[in-house]
Amino acid sequence: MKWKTKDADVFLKSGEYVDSILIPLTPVSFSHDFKSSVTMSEYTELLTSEIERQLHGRLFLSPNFTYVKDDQALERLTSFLEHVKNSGHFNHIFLMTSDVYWKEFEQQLSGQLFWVPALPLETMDEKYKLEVIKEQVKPLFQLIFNDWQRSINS
Amino acid sequence: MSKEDISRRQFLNYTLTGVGGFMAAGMLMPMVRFALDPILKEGTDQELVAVTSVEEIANEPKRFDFKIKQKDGWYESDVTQSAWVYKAKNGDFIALSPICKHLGCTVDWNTDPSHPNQFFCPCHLGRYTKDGTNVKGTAPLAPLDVYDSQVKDGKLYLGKAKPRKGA
Repeated sequence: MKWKTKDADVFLKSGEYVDSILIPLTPVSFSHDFKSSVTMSEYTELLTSEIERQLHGRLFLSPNFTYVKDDQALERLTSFLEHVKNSGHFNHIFLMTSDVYWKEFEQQLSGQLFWVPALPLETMDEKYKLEVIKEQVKPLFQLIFNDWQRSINS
Repeated sequence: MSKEDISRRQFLNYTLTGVGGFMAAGMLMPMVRFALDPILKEGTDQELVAVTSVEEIANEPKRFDFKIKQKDGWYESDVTQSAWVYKAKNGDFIALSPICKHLGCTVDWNTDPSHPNQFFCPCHLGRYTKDGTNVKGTAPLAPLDVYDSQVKDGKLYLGKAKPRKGA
């Protein structure tokens, strides 16, 4: 499900089936790492939208969490995650980023962090691009399914 | 009186009615056309898209991805769609939409070890038989949609996915 009114209506009606949220973490910068920020954001969006497409009925794709890499980024994300958790809707919180910045905070985040380094897709042709994305998300599905499986067993 | 004699009054009557008629017709025609437009418009069926060559289709369902153009307001985008395609026993090609009828996840073929040879939805454990019929007692309440399909020059073309009645 996406951050769209159409999906929001379904969510209001069948919210109990939607117990997972996927939050893309995308950096914003207009200084020296401008281009790499764009590349990372774009790549993260491609992956998350493919995951959303396949798990539409159980996974909510949150709007991008955008951040400037400064002292407050972690604090802001933590409080956002707190809000998501306290909403009571989501038992499974997944975070997706191409930015290695978050890797060191992985333990402090209340959610499973998927860190996938960005590939330079801009020069690839469409068909090949699709294949790459498909291959890249495959293991992520496994991680999500495992997480779902754990909650059944526990 | 010669035969081409025509009174001034008659002449004016004819010309005015003639010109007036043209003007009225000129105004009414577009209006009528607008009013009828929705009826005359061809079915909004989406164009058929070539998905694969027929040789690649086996008896076992295989997933094919293809792109269609979708319009959302002014924003036009390419949307990826998938279809599960297989050859039925009578030689027909069946193309099923992978969108689960429960809440719209993408179903997979033969991925649930305890129920082989069925379509399986990982989200809420929905299941469908090979022909797309929903298995009773699982989450979905309707069979998978079927794509309009057509074979031309050895290629399979798919159109719109159409819903079917529930089992």
